[in-house]
Amino acid sequence: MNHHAPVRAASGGADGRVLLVGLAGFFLLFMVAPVATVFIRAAGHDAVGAGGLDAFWSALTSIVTAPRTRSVITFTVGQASLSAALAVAVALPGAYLMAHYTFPGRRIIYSLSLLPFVLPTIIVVVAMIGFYGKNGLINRLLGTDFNLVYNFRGIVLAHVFYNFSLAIRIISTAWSGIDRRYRESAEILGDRGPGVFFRVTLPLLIPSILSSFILVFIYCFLSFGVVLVFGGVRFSTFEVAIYREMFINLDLPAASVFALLQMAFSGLFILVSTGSLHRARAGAVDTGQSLPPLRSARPLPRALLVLYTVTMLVFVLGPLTTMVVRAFTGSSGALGLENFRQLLVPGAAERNVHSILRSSVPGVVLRSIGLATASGTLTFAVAGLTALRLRGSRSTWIDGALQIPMGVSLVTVGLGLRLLWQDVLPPVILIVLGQFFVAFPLVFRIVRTGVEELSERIVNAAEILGAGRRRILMDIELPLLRRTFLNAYAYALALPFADLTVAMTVGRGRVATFPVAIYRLIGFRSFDLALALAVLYIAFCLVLFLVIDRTSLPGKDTP
Amino acid sequence: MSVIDSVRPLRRILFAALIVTIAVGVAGAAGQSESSPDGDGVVIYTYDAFPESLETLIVDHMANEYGVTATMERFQDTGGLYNELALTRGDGVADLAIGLDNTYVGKALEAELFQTYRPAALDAVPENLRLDPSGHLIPFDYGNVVLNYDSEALPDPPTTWQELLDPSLRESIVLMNPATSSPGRNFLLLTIAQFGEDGYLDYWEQLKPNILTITAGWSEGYGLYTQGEAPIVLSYETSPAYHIAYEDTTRYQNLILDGSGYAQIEVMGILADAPNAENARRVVDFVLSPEFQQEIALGQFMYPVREDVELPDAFTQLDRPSESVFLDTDRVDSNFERWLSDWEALMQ
Repeated sequence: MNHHAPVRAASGGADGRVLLVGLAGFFLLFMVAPVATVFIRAAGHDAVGAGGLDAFWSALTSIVTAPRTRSVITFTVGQASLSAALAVAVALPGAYLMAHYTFPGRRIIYSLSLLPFVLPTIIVVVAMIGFYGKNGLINRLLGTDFNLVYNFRGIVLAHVFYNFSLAIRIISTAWSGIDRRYRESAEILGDRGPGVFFRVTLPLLIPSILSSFILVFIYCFLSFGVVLVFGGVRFSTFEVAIYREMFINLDLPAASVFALLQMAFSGLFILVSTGSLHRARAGAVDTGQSLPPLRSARPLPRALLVLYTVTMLVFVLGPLTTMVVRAFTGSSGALGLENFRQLLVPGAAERNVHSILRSSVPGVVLRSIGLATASGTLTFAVAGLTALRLRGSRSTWIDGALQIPMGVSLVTVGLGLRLLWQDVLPPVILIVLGQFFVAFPLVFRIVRTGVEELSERIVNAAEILGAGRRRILMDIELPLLRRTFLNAYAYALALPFADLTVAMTVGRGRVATFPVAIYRLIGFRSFDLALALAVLYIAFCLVLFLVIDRTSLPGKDTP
Repeated sequence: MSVIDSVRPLRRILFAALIVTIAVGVAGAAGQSESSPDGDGVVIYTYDAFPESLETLIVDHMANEYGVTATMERFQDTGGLYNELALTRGDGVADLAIGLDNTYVGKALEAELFQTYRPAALDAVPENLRLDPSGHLIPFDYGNVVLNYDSEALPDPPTTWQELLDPSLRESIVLMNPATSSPGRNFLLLTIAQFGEDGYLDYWEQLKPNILTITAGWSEGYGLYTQGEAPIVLSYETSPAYHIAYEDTTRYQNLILDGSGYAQIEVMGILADAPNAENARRVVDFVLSPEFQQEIALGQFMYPVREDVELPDAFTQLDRPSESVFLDTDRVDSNFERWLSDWEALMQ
């Protein structure tokens, strides 16, 4: 048995290739072909000018040479880099804490940290404003009206708020795996203090740090709503440019050009990051060890960690709390259940909630859960199978190709899915397919990072010691991968749960999910009812995350 | 034995999950497969926010009077509706589109998406609301884009364009981006109507310090306003009626500058390739009938185009612009991109 035998790409042989070919076919049919349909129809749409490919080429040349395009690119890249760097920096102590200590409320904090990520933009904005705004809690407590957020700072703040939990979850999963044994070995060999961190821990953490940096970067790169609320006209991103050409100037060729530029840029970042991921592959060991309580830490680190936790709780919980309080505040200003009663009891509201939502509230709940379960399980299963097949492979191209859906404009995919497939497949199936592409890149990346960090050396060692195939899976691999898989599944469920774009574009107004219902209430100027519905939505998300995190949180609590 | 072999059982679990999901999906899809509308129904395209109460009126009317099934398909917003019509032109699926507004009239006519129809009831509609002289697009409701203000935070509101520049209103106004929002676009056009092509940028330059932020969409902006972030917001002249009708408060009021607002007129049109144009004409006639028009105010929160229907109480209490402005659609179409770019360059 040769320990150093390379584990080849998708070396499962014939059926490994079958999976990859099947996946390629799936991407072609339900992503590439729909997007192409929109581009082709847009190019043939000659009502707004010359039409055809000529229109496309002239749009391309005029956009690429425009100084404004350069400022869009500079700003988009700049704000995304800064936001991602800050989000990762803010996440590192949190990841350390989660990976090393237990403390009261640890589970619920870990689950809560996911919430901003799944909230509809409008709700995040309402929450942030209620806390940081000119009339927000901070300013009211201080008796001031500082402009804290309507500027570049506001954009970055909102992006960090949105995304840092993603980084915590990815990095802490990796960190909890590395530490103990390597650090102990290093210490036995006489290496102590910060040296251990820089020589042992950090190199092993790099893949997860890079992975979370690039994910956050891309999410900020594609950011739309947040930038526009806080940044006004001064800052605009590609998504803004696409929206503007598509829905306001009605210039579909120009919209296609911006969409292609956006895809090209995202593709570039994805390829660069995938390459670096492979170079920095780690051999992490996750021993599933029990963790000591925080109070056993030395006083200085303990004080710093407590300070950090309190700060983060204020940062995240402050906005959420002000929003929840507002949901429980009736139009009279008194705390109570008035908004919930209007929402849930037929006839309790002056306006007919059922007719605004075009569904009952329980209908919204069941539909959201059903759709998220279907598309979440599909995404998770496909991502898991693919990651296992690709194990050991370092093909930047395959990894890069699988991340493409991230850079594709969702509106375009949704529109194309409907144009191409609506005669064959019902809207619900099309929504599930569209939502697959919303979640797949992230879910796949989480699983892939986890699978790659699982050292083949342990498995080989187990083989030398005579462990059977089944034993290796049940005793070593499953426990080691369980956290990664459950964390990935949480995102696979959460992203479709939070999806508005696909449900709206594909559903032809017939599929009311949580975000769609919230959007409709706000359209009817029912902000209080919308917030009440958002609170119900948050409650469902929290239950979901708590159930999953119960089993996926790194490290076991000591009793 | 290789690492790959050892994960085979894990793969089986994932495969099983995949198969089960697909099976459930197929079964679910088969269970709820919808009956496609038959040959002599009528298919209406509109935007998501079109009220269900008005949809029901149309569906019932068509079923009871003609035994015809009316089906409504909804797209995200007015822009989404327009793009759907443009991208599916020639497919012969939709008969009627309800809900495009002046922003889209020029493009829609240029793209020849619609056929002409002159309903008899158009006689009851005032001349100044008939924005398509070519007779393709028929107005059914309208409302002016104006500023709104919070009378608790701002007891003494400005009443003229000049007073809106007062330094006491620093960071007090929430607007929407003309590049991404209909009210935003119409407000920019209002300033052009007011100050002319040569003067609007000067006005915006002076207005800048008083703007708190410019949001992408109406809902975010209006959300900031109702959260107390700013006392003045860009919205519709009917917005205060919501708060009167459903929250029983007159706290939010219209802020009308020098008596003018920009008319947002909503239109309907029969598609050029409508398979059932006859039924579509029947729907158009019904939408312009007093029976339907009198439901528009509280259903849609817009004003009906017929002047002979009575308005509900919440609407009679509102300040209204004395003058409803809108620029010629041809002129807007050929200049808007330039106006917008100049404005963006100024606001950066």
